Amino acid sequence: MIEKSLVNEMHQVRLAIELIELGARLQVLETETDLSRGRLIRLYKEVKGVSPPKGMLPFSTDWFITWMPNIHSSLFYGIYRDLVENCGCERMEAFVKAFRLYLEQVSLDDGDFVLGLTRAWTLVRFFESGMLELIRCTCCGGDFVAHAHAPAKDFVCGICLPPSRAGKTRKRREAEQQQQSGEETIKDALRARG
Amino acid sequence: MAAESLMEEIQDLNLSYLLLAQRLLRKDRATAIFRLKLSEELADLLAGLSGKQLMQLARTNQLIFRPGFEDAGHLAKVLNNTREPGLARLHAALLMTSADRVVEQQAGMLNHD
Repeated sequence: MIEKSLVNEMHQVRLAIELIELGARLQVLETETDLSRGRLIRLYKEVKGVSPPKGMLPFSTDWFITWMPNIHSSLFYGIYRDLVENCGCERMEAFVKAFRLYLEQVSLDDGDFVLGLTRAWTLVRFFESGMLELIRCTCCGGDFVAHAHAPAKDFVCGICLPPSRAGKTRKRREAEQQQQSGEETIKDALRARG
Repeated sequence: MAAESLMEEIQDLNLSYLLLAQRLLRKDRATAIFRLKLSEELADLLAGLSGKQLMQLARTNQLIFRPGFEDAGHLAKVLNNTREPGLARLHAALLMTSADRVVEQQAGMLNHD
């Protein structure tokens, strides 16, 4: 009995370390492992070298519907779903692997990692609680994250039909960076991130 | 002659594919199944094949793997999207993660139409 729980605990610690390395907030670890809060905080400090950030997790489903986050969320969730349904993965195993595959794909494009691990986790939880669903784009046939019960008829995704100002920010950001490569003020850095 | 060398290329490609599949599957089974788009049964079978069996499978005049895209119309939309803001690769990747279901859902979708 004692031996079994030790092995189990080792698995839990290993999962926690992996999640922390990938950017998990403390709330994710508390939900997904049986380790005590005190131990998780110590583990977090050991792995990251800093105290875990405080405050609530983002709790709105709306973020996942906005343009660029929706595209990244849909890619991640498509991978996650495939791992669970077709690759014989358990939930958390699939989650970690899907997140790594997502990072891998985005890094091929030198793109920003729009979807952080904690966001990805809340995404999975929203699907599990039925607040989000996948809708198929009638144009490209890809599956995209949408609010539950959103009208699926004639749905066209944000890549096939980008909103009129979508993508402008990146160009603007690049132009800005080129212009102000010399004079970097904190204000500019903040705007470029947002 | 040209046809023969093409045949050789196909067989080389088959063998490379099988060897890569085995390496991927041994490294991380689930991730490999995702990348290769195989069924679990087929993945386990491929992973356990001997060198001789791999050679047997590779020696054919057909490719032993298929494209991950099922629907030419959808792929054309991805590639020829004039409004697309530099997301073609991401879009194609997304399409392939959805592709598995296309076959299963086609019956349902036809009913809707």
